[in-house]
Amino acid sequence: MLTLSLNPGFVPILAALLLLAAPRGLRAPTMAAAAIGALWLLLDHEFGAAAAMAQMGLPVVLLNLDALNRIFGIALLIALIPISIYASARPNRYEDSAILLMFGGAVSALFVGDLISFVAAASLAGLAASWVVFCSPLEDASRSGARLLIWHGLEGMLYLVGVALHLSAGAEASVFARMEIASLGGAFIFAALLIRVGAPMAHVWLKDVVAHASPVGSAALSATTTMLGVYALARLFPAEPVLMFIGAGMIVIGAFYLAAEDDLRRAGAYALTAQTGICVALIGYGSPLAMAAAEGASFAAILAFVAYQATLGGIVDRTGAARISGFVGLSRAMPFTSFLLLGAGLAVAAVPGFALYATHAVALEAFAQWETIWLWAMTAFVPGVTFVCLALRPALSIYRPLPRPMRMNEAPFPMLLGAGLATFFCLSVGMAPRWLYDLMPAQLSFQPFELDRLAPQLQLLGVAGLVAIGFRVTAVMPRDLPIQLLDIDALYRGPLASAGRWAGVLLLRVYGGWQDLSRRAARAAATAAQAWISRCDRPYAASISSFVQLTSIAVALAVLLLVH
Amino acid sequence: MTRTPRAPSQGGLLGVATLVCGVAAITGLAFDFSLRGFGGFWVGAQSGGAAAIGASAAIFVVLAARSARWLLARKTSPVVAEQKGGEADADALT
Repeated sequence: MLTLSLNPGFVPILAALLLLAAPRGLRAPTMAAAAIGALWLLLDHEFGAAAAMAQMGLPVVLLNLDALNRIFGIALLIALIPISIYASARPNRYEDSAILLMFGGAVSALFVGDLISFVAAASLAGLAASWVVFCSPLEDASRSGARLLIWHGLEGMLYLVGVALHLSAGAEASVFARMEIASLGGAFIFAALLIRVGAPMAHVWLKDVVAHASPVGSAALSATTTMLGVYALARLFPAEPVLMFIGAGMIVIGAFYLAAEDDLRRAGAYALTAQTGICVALIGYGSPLAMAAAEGASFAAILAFVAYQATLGGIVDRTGAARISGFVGLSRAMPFTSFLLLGAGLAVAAVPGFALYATHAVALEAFAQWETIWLWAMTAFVPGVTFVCLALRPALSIYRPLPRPMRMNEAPFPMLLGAGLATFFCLSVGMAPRWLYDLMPAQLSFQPFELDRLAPQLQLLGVAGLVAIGFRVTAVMPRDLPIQLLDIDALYRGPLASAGRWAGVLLLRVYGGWQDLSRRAARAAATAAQAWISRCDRPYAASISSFVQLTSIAVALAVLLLVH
Repeated sequence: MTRTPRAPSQGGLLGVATLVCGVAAITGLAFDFSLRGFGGFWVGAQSGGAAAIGASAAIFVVLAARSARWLLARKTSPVVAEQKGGEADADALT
């Protein structure tokens, strides 16, 4: 049982420690070897739980392998391979180590079988994610990392309260299985997971960190952050109806900002929020087909958004930003990156032939019921918006020639190779999706390339593209300008922060006033007591206070005698 | 006689993109109407419904972009915006 209890996520964690001392030439091979070793460990074992260890009376299950966590684990570990190649483009041992630690924490959290180990592993992944952002050379990255730490601190606090309340029911409650949102402990853990998936009002951290992380960091963060929350929701709160509305909110917010953003890394993060919203809504619906679609969509989204952010990273590496308004003429200077951006854009837009289409078709099939027409429509809507914003708009800008070509080099070869490999994974899974369907927990016999599924997707994307091109030619579509949009974090960081500051000042003044008042009252009481005591030295003085003193002393003596 | 080199097209990928999207739309619509008939669990899932969803997605993009720029855009250059963002961040941390 010893081999079974070795969680695959421990391999990247151990490799992360080795990376700190490894020379530059060995770092990328070590990262890739850690991914392949963890994959081997994962695929080599049968389903089942390892023997539990008892710690403080609570069972600790370090490995519990089943179909649900296997599909998430395979996706994360496959995504780590192109990221390893991509990371060799620049020398930064700390970021390499942080990325491996983040992947190790996330994969460990997938495969543990008890609540406490899950919280520990998820917190490790969260801390490592902040470290990844701190390692970025971009401006304001440290502040973004600090904000991510605050979000993860809030999430961790909710986890701890939830777990403590949940465990108060008994040691057997620590098993990592379905919970009730109506219980207090379940509600706290549910709230923590909503932060992790980027639910409305907490969705801002993802675009914040993706826009401030380094090129390789943003690709790694896209893979590990929100999808761990999707897995935990699928495990702990399947078929929870409120998740359908939360997922719908995420789709609306993601699509809205995706349409308006000029910074493509932020736009990619919003597209990931919309895609995560589809997964969350599917989990909320909870039918076997919907659960299978959620798992498959998460798998495909991990690969597709790694490919997209990695491709954008090449542009960020050369120009310092990935704004569409600055893309004009870039195709001459960076032809391979431009081509890869087109391919990755098609991958995230669920174009037939890519992995996301194969799972998108299952999601539409799962929502094709009368009671979920609105979710069906929203799910069908997302690829149209994504296609226009992440594939068509950048392609039209990047291939527009400039009168004077830019003087710039192509992205480094490891970056091109990593991004190309991630896009290739999307394409290969999309062309032959049967093995992905076989990985899903539900027995799925689904043909995504049947004409009644293929034809609607083709016409949807084609018509969306034609209408968008028409709007662009007629100047109805707004021009690409270097703007920055306000989101809900402007409220957190602006008026709410000011209100907090004012509330702090007000409370300090109230506290100071109270201290002053109590000091004066204590001084007056002390003066009165001193005067009263000094009168005890003159008991025969002719005053009413002497009489009161003598009477009170007599009463005290009488009480003592009676009690005695 | 020297031939002057032709100036590069200012449209870039516009023609190719129009062609690809047009072919996809026509192919999809043709297969949809010829093979599927008029079935579908609701009007959006019937033949041609996906085309309407695609068109509404493009319209949504325009409306969202315009309204977001009108309501939510910071009207400064990117460098200044970054600096202002930095100041706001510093405020949030203190």
